[in-house]
This record gives sequence, C-alpha cells and structure tokens, in this order.
Amino acid sequence: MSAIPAKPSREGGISESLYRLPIPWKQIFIYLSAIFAFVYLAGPFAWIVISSVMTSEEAVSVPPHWIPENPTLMNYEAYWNPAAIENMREERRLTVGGVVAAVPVAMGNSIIISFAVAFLNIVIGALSAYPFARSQFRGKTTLLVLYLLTRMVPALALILPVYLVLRQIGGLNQKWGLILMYMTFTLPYSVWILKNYFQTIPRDLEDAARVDRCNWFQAMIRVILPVSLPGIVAVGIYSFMAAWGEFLFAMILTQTPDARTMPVLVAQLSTELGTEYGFLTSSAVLAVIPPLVLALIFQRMIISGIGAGAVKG
Amino acid sequence: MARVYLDQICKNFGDFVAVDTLNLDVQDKEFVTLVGPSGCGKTTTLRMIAGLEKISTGKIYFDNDSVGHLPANHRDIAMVFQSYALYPHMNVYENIGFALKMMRIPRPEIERRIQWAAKMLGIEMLLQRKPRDLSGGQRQRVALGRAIVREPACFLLDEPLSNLDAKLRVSMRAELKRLHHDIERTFIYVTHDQAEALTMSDRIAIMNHGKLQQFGTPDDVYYHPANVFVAGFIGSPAMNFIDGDIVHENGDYYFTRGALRYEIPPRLAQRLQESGRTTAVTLGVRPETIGVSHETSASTEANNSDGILGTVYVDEPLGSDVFLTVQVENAHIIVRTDPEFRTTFGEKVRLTFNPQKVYLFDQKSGEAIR
Repeated sequence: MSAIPAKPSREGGISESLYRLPIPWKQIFIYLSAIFAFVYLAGPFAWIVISSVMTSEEAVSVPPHWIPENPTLMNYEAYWNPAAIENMREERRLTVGGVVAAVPVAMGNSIIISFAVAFLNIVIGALSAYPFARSQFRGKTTLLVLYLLTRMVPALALILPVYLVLRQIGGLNQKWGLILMYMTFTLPYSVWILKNYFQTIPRDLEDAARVDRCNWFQAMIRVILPVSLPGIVAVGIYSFMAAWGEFLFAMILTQTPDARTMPVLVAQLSTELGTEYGFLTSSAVLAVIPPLVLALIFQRMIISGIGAGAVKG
Repeated sequence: MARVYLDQICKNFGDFVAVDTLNLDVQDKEFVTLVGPSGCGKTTTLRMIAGLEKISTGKIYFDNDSVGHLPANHRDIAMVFQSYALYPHMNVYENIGFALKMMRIPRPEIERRIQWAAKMLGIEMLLQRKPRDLSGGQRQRVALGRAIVREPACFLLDEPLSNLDAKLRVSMRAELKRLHHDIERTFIYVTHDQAEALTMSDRIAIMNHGKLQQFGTPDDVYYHPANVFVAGFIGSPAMNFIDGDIVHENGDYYFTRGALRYEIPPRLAQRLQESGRTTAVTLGVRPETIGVSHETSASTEANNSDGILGTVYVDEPLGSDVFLTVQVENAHIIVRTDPEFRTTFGEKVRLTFNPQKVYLFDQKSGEAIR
C-alpha cells in the first residue's frame, strides 16, 4: 500500500552491532585522571595518618609498609598525658619533650588566632566591602586596586619592617601581633570576595528592608548578611585557613610558646638531631582536624543556592 | 490615611535631570498611576516618595507633614517591587510578618494580620514555603501581602505586574483594583503599560523626559490629551498622526497634506480663528473612531463625500477586531474595525473621520489645540 520504499536494513542487525560498541576512551580517561588526582592528593595525607599510629622506628623502616604492625596511640598520648614525656629516654625528653608538651598550647593558640582572624575578616571585610559594592565615590577603583597591590609585595620583603614595627608596639610573642599581621594579608582578598558577592545581591532586597522599617544597620544584619552567607562563609574559611597554615611570620614573630602556632611547633619536631616521625605525623593529624571539621560543617552552606528565589529568576 | 503632595520635586543625577519640577497632588485613598516610557522618571519619583532616593530640590508632604528629609524606615509607606524582593532566607510567613516584627507589634497581632493578609490573597497554604519554591504569581501575592499587613498610609507599587505572564497580568490587574477598593488606602502605581494605567487608576500622571505631561482621570487623558505625547502614549493601537498645514478658504479651515484635504470641524476651526493660527499642525485621529468602507466608484478623487481615499497596506485580524493599516498620501493610518470588514492588500477604501473626535496639535510645540 505504502509507496515509501522500506529502509534498507543494515547488514548484521542489532545483535552484531552490540558487539561493536565503541570503547569509551573518554570515560576511561576521565576516571583514570580522577583516580590519579585522588591518589596524588590523598596519598601523602593517608601516609601521615597511618604513620601517626606507628612507632617512630616502624614509620621509617625499610621497606615502607601501609598497614601498621602494632598500631599504637602513644604518639598522641603524650599530648594530654605528661607522664608519657616523663617516661621518655632522657636525651629524647630533652630534645622533643618540651616541644611535645607545648602542642596543646600551640593548638589553642592556632585556634584562637585563626578564629579571630576569620571573625575580624568577616566583620571588617563586610563593612568595608559594602560601600564598594553599592556606592560610587571618587577613588573607588584606585582604592580597590591598591588593596590588591599590597598583596603583591613578597612576604620576605615585609618581614624585617613588620618585625621592627611589632617590636615597637609590643606585639612580638603576642597572639594579637600575629592576628594583626594575618589581617593585613587576608583582608584585601576578603574585601574583594565580599564586594563581588554583595554585587550579586539585588539592591531591591536592601530597599525592601528599608521600607520594612529597618535602619541601615538592621537591614544589613537581618537581610543582607543572611543572604550573603555563602560569601561570608567563603571569606571565613579562606581567612581561617590562611591564618591556620601560615608558617613564616609565625616563626619569626614568636620566640616563646605563648603565641606559637601549630605549624611552627610541627616544624620544630624536625631538628638537626633527628626527626621525630611519630610526633611529627600525629601533630600534623591534629593540625588537620579543625579546618577539616569547619569544611565539613560549612560545605553545604557554601554550595546551597541560598540566593535562589529572591527575585524573579 | 494620607494625601501625598509633591511640591516642585527635582532629581538630578550629575548633569542628567531625571525628574524636572514635578508637582503632584494625590488625594487620600486615591489610586494614581505614574505612566510613561522607560527612563521618564516615574520610578525615580516613586523611590523619592518612598525615601529610597534623595530629592535634589522640592518638598514631599504626607498630609501636612513634610517628609522629604525622612529615611524610608520613618515614612509610613509600603512598597511592592518589580522584582518582588522577597527575603530568600525567610519563609512566606516571616516575609509577610517582617515589617510588623520590626515595628515591635505584639506577636498575636502579627499572627492575626498575617492570617488576614494570607486569606485575602489566597496564599494561606504557602505560609511555610520559601520564596524559591513559589511561582511568579505566588511570589507576587506574597510581595503584596508583605505590603498590606503593614496597613500603611500609602502603597507604592513599582511595576508589580510586569514580570507576570500576559494572562496572569490581566487577572492580577483586576485583583489589585479590587484590593484597593477593599482596603481603602492611597495607591501610587508605576507602570509603562498604558492599559494598566487606564483600567486601574482614579487618575493618571503621564510623564516623559522627567516632566509631567498631563495629570487627569483616564477619560481625561484619553479624550482630552494635552499634547501629542499623551495622545500617542494613551490608547492602543496608538492615535494616528498626520502632519500637514492649515488652509483658510472662504471662512472655512482645511487641513491639507498633498492631495488630502479635510475640513476642520467647527469646534476646532473656532479655536484656530481665535488664535489666528495657520502654522504647521498635526492631525490626530484614534483608530477606533475612523469609519471605513470599500471604494465602490472608480473615482480617484482623494476626498469626496464618501471620505478620504486610501489603499490597504496590511490587515491584522484579531478575532474581535481587525487592525487595518491604510496608506493615505504616504502616511500610514491604522483603523480599528469590525472583523466582518474584509479587505485585500492594495484594495482602495474610503476613510471617514468623526468630526467630534479629531484632534489638532501644534507641530512645533506638540501642544493640543483645543
């Protein structure tokens, strides 16, 4: 009936073509890359965690192995149990005992300093970024670029002047000295990040809050900041991490354990007299915990699209 | 309860004059629409009334109180934004109750008012949802709810319907008008849509280039436009304008353009006589007031007793009407006529203008001659 000629069937039919599925090279490549990247990034970390539950001797034994023969928490115990240090061999106690005993204090210092830096970055950053995002004033762009330019100076060039200034104002060996220092190199970025974030928030939201009986400050606290939460969390995490991992200034600006932070202390476990792999790795694991916890808590907040639905999309 | 009175308001952004010496007197409980093309200063005016924009010069009064110096949070107004501006981190209930909370109104009263507003707008079942889970129309209602719970002296609405689809816009238009009737407050409404202005308002303020062109009732601005701009802006399809000259012969006045010759009705002729004006003028005729008939004779006379001769350029049937574009003396005239009137492109037709409903404008100043 139909005048349309039947479509010529391909030779072989379906069953044969199944065998000729192309090899998914692209997929294979992507997965291999992902596996490689994972091993590359997570491998050293895994080694540190594993080594931290080995004795120092086992950790450096040749050939290296991944499964501890006698897992032990002795590398951690010394941090909260002074008796463990007392029981060390004398020369060992003299070389690393003091350092190990200072770990809890350093941990506290790191936490205080990093949280303070994160908090101050959020408060000062938000207050300074808002005018940059919203108003027009003379020298706005110049000022923003200047902020970034301060970051173009190498840290090494700054150390001596910073040291002298801090000594002058009594900021050496003080937590606030380090906080002050860290603020100078985190705040410019925070202002930029928050400025860009605020610019994505519709101005109408602020206006609506004003009309809804908020003064400027209330509009900021009740509407702008909650809506900016992802940006604020990003700034908090960024500045926390910057302060947490900073080594150079922390080492130069602190000579006593009072304000010494974890990176400096961990480094002291590797001395001319030898490297304490057990304590080195266990303190490194301890040092990873706070940022890790923070990242886990806030990751959902960072990625949740809280701004969706504010205005007609 | 508030009368809103703008006294010689100006707003400059640098050298740009956004609003130029605007006087506007909005009566208590009146629905006034500011309408005009984009950039005409209508939204800026609304923002100045709200206190979101500083006034360059002039004064704003709510009743007898000068409020020009007060920030937005100290003026008793509620505003609905074009973007709705719902707080994304709050649910509908919190959105609607936010201003009440800021005003420190007791909790049971807040609860009562939110329920009242939600019921009025039909959004009771949405109170726990976040704005991102609402449709455009629902967000619109929440934005309205946020305004009405305040029971403010004055409502300011900035193109609240322009983000809705055409069908919803028409139904919300009616609901807004009803809402105004029910809650008996002053409404100041900004739109660029002349149909919204005509259908909803008690009075319409038409603005262009920062200047008030005319302020009057819908009938006023439709039937007695003050100038070419108002005449062209109000009404859809827009009024037809034909530029030409005035000729005075044997005591009668004629509008002429090429072979086209149209006797000016006595009402306007008298005005011309009084002013002795023979300058270039623009003739204005609304599409719905033009009569059209098929040309039956073979006459090629441009004007005879049957009307003005033209050629059909295009016809656009709309179901209820037909829009006919007719070429007369290289001017296009749009005619709105019955759907039964069918033509073909290029066909000759005769147009008749209703002498009661033609307008004359001074070509130079654009002012209506009336």
